[in-house]
Amino acid sequence: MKTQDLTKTTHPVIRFLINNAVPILFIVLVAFAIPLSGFSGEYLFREMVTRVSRNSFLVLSLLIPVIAGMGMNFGIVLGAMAGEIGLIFITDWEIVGMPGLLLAMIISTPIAALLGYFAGKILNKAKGREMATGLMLGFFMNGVYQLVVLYSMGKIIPIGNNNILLPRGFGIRNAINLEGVRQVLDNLLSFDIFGIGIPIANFIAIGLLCLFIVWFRRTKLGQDMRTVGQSMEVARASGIDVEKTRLISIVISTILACYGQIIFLQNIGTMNTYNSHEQVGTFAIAALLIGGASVARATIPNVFVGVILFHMVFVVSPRAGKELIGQAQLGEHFRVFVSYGIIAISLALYAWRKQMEKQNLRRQAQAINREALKIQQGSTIGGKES
Amino acid sequence: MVERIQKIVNNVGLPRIIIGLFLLFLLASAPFVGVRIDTSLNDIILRLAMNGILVLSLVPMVKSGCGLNFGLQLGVISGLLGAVISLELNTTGFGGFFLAIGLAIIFATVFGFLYGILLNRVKGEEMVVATYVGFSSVAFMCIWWLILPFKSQDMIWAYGGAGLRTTISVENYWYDALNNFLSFKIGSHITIPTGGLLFFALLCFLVWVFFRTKIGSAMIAVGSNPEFARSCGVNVNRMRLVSVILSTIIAAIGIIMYQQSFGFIQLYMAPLYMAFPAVAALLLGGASVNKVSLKNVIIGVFLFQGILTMTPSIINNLIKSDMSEAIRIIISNGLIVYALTRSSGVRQS
Amino acid sequence: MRRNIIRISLVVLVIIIAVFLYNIGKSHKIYFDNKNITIGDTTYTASNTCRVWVDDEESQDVRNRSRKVFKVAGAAHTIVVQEVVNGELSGERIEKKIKFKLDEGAIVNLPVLLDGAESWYEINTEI
Repeated sequence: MKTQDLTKTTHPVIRFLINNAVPILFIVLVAFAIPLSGFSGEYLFREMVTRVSRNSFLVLSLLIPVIAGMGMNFGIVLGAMAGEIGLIFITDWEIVGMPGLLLAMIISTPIAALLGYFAGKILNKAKGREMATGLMLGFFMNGVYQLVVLYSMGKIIPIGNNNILLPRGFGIRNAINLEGVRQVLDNLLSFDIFGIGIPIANFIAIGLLCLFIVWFRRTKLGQDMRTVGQSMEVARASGIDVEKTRLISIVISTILACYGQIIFLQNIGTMNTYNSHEQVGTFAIAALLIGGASVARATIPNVFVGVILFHMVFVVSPRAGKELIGQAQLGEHFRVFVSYGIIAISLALYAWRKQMEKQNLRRQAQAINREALKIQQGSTIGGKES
Repeated sequence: MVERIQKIVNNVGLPRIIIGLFLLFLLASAPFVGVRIDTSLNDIILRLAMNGILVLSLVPMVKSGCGLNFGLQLGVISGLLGAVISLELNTTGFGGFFLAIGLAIIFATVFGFLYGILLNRVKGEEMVVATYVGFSSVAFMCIWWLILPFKSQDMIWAYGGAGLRTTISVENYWYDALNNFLSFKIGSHITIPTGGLLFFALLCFLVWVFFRTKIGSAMIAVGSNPEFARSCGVNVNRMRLVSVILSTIIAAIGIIMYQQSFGFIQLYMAPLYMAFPAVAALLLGGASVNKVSLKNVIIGVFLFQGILTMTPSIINNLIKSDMSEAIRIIISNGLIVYALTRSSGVRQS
Repeated sequence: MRRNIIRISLVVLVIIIAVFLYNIGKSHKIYFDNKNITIGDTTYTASNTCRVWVDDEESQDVRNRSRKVFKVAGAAHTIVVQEVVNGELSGERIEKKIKFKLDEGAIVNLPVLLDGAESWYEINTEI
């Protein structure tokens, strides 16, 4: 097992601080920004409950490909698109309430599975640069999504509801009102603590997913995935079908992301048909990385710490920017910068560490070679003497 | 026969064939839908001068093995800084244009240097790191566009707003400064932007010359076989650093060239996705993640801009709806995905 | 073989669930008209405001010569109507059941309903 430590220090406190540098940095940042923003504790708590309940599922969907060594799955954008297509259909058919939400999930599951299969196939061809490829795949599929939703819905794919069709008769409007399923999951089982509504059903869904992930890691497939993640050669040598295992991890992740997006959008209540999925990957990945995850290791606690910290920055920074410089826009830009920047830094740190390991290995190998050479020379010299 | 076709498809690449056929189809159908070939040609030539340098900027990094420069935005930002400062100093015409370029080169050298040091630390993962470095630098500059103390009335918001505008016109400064140089007309619809084309040609020539110098060939050696280059006594990291700086500088010049043609400086989130079309054009021209030549640049820009100019008009006329945006996204990103899946793995040493 | 049977039956099960969800989740519009209406030879006149309950939805008051709409999910619904006079509920509380096929909605004519006649609603399919 590769160690994830950034440092060789043995002092436990320093080790802890350095290994968790990213979350700690953000805790400090948030600790400064909260008083500046002047938000009340109750407001922040309410915001955090909403945001954790609507975003965690999406972030959790990233975990399985990490086990398989494929890094951050930027391809969850594809799952989000599948979820949106399901929501478009149930809005068209006017299926409302929990049945509507469940039906949307059922419809979008095969779409997500198909897209996940496609993504997995492509990522298998791009070993060693899954992340760049997944990212570009998301952009690529965005074009395909536009082709399907903006040009063939209402023409080739029957859509009859004039409320969601563009006036020209085909193509879906820019924004769809999801009033039929708005917050149905949130309100299914909600109860108040100090006047703050807690969406229990959401948290049950998230909890079940966590249990699934914990259970999945222990299955044969999960163990295989871990082996593949550590070394494809070793996995192949022990008879694991590497390609298939990687493919499955992406399919699962895409399907989960599809459900995650549906949960996210039922909370928001309106869907920006062509933009809602664009930032899904970036935000989910940034949240996971802020939670202290790395490309090679991501745990369930990372998810929750990350979602809370990331969204705290999200909520607080516009107001803090306004109080500090007098411009709310500054905070807006700042949070966009944070989400991109954190991904850049985490990926860079990871790649750097990998490079250092490689160099160390090379140096060790050279040292061993030199030793061997010396011994050889020594013995030949000795041979001459005797 | 089938084998031969397969071999050709493998060599040229399926996406390139599809896009080539698509372009042929567009050209063939142009007369039938009443689109004038000469105006399209005029557009393509103008866009060649406008975008060529941005695509050219990718070359040094591919040559030195740093892969496709998805962090092109850093160069773009340097160019933007140069441009807004030249406007602030109220310089016009050639003077303003070259002042902008001069300033941009200074910024690009600094940014490129830092960027290069970072990329040297992340060998093998350059592309995804570069993408997010590009994204985050654009977002970071958004903050600075807001708070930098610019004064020019043409650039800041008119009523009480703080910071620079999202689009700034260069019309009163150096709009078409270079394009109008020695420009002439062919027929009634084609205007050749001679100055722009010459400038693009000059830069291509300089890059060509550079890769024939000692440093240039060392850089190529680093790109094709770093171990061998090291054993020959070439400082691999320094060569890579130089290539990154060079790429960033050319990109900075490229964006100023673009603004000079386009007439506007676009700030804030506008440069966010600028790397992708440039990369796609280069790939369309026949380059791959680790192989490139100047021929790829010129052919690529020509084909890519050809598609961009032809699709809206022709597809609009054919099916009465504007699918050009979706087609553009699919083509440019599809090409990049395809290139990433080819030539498996980045030289995993 | 056995695996395939299990798989196919699972898929069938999911499809059945989907159809079931479609049925119970399909939304229908019920319009309530409190307007004068002539059916055959009889004319029913609207006089008082009516308070209408549909299933567990919040009640709505349909005033004289006006129309209100309820959006409800599923096939079978219970409608309760009572007149309102001077802000107080009065008269008989009438409870009716209504059932839809897919793609159906209904217009309920309140004067007819209060009169106790048979044809108190008409199905409309143009939603």
